[in-house]
Amino acid sequence: MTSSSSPSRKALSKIACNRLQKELAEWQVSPPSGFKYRVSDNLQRWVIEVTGAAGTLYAGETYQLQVDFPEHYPMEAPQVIFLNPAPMHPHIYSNGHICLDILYDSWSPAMTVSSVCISILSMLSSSPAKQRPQDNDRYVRNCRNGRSPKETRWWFHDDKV
Amino acid sequence: MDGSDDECCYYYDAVDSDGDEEEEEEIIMLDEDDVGLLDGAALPPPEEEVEHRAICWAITKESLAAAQEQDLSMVMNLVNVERHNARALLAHHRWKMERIYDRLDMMGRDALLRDAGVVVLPEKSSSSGSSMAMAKTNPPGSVAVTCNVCFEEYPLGSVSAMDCGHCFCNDCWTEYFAAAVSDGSKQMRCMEVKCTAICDEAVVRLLLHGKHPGAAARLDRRLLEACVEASDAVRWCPSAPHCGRAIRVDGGGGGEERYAEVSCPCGAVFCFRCGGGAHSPCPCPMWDKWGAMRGGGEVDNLKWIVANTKSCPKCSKPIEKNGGCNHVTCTCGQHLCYACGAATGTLYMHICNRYKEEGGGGGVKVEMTAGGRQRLRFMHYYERFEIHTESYKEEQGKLGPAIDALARRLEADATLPWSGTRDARWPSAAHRRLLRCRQVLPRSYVLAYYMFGGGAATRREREEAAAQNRFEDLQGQLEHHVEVLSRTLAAAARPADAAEVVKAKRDADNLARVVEGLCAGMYRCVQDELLPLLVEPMNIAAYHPDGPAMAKEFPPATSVTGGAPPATRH
Repeated sequence: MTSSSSPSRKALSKIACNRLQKELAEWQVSPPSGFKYRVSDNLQRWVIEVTGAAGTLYAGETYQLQVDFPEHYPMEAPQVIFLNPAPMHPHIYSNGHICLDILYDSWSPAMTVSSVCISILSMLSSSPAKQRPQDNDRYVRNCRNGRSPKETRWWFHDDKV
Repeated sequence: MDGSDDECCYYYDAVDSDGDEEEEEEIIMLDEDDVGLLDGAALPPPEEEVEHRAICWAITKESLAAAQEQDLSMVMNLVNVERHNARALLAHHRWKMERIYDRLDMMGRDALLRDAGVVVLPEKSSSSGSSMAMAKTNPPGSVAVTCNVCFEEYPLGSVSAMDCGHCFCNDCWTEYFAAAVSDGSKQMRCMEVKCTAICDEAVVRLLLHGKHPGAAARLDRRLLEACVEASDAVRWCPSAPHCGRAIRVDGGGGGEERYAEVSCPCGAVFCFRCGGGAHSPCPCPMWDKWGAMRGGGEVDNLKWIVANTKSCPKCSKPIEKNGGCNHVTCTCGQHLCYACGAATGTLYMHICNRYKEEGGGGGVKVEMTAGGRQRLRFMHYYERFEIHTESYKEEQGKLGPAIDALARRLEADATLPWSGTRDARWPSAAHRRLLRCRQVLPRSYVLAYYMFGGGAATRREREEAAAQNRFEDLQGQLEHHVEVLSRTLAAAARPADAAEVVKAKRDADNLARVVEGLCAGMYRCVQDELLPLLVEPMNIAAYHPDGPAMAKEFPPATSVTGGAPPATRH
């Protein structure tokens, strides 16, 4: 399974390394429900399996999240995308980009990969229909060259989904 | 170019007649009548005018810091908040102290703070410092705190808490602040999820200085500049290269100061509202459109046409203007108006500022396309804009030194009979008035181009016709009298005998008063009669005879006040 985007990443700073090691240790002790960390040696890129919650449109379905960490994590938000195939959701584009404010403007250093995963699962669970965003085709065309979703100027307007 | 050949007598100028006693008296009476006609347009007394004028300050970086400190201290004392929250309040109210007073009276302190997004816990005001706030977030007996960002444990001395009580280690705060400065943030908010409390400036500065001194300096500069960008009453001087000053306009309260025109000590003269060059009585939006229109290559063609297609109506020789006055005389003896090319008499009784649609000689109607009509209309206004702009340059660059020389000659000449005539100030005063009105004339044509028949959306056609008629009447008279004043000063600057100097002084003084009254009347007509007709209301700077307000240098602070809160670090 190849990555749909490959941003050039600087090596993690010492602070980022320390924090990610602690996050990983905490994850192994008590992982969030519905998520499974795919073990790898690359601390800078996490691949996480997401299983849709029971009683929702995505019950029993499995998707893969890719989380890439910048040099100055957690002062800067990680890049979080779904690997192909992305779930059909009004706020998830077919290239895996996710329209969720905490991944961009509302990021806080006190957030963690766990809290982000829980927010994404909550977004999936409250989906009213399995459909793409209205501007999916145009957006995906503009991102053809592997552009990062962090370069997009998002407009967050739907708090219900 | 077809133009009006209608000769109307607005002003009697007996330049060529020899003055005997009886005729001189008659001239004086005419002058008095002429001034009397403008009683309604006369300016209020100077004292009253000075009272109403907005005061302008030129603020250097140092003075800006002092002024900002003054406002911060007032708000800190008034509302009883820390410095960073005072800054947030001022930014929220665009650095208008009176709004904070009003809101405090209306809403009370707590609602005022909530409205601006300021988080102040009730116990904060009673605690002796942030250490007590920190202690409250920990179990009794605890001597270490876990930072929720790096998940390390720290002693109490290595962590900081903000007003909201959220506590993180100083290392993480420092990296967070450095990243925020790098991102261009002006407000440092708490790191906790969904917390909007503003971080203590003293803590931010202290932590940044230790590890990122460059970021600390950038933050200080950004905080200083943020109040200029947030304030409606302060704006940077638009000079390039930048002179480093900001201009503050302390107004009369009606919002009028935002439409002021300002002169910075560095020499830049600009409209306070839009930052462009001074342009009253033309409103900002019209001036912007005119500037955009003039940028094209078409205007270069028109400029060449204006400069090179004037010819004498009698002998058809090409005409070149020498000096600022647009009453031109051909070598064959014919007098003409440089703007429209029409023949005039030697007394220059000629008005041609109005655009007349489908005007033509001999009643022959020429069919024209809509584009052709538009072009003809634009040419009418553009020609006069360009001609008056060039006249201003001539009257400033060439007539100015000649007037200065005249003033020096008057001071030195002991043969002049009257002490009033030897007063050397009258040529310079009249020249300043001439320049002022010459600046206003081209802008009045820009306003007329967009205001009349140019598609400006107006509400009432009847009022528009009356207002247009009044405006164009004032504009035409102003133009006429400016030309006479220009010629009078040009003649006075040449060597002359005592009698001619006496007459020139009298004429110049009278004309200066007349043009000032006409100019003020035109401004009032624009503001009170024309602009209210627009569907989208506009405003212009109020008229001042001496032009844009000179900004005074803001006095630098003599002492640094307001010590920083005690450091939280041991």
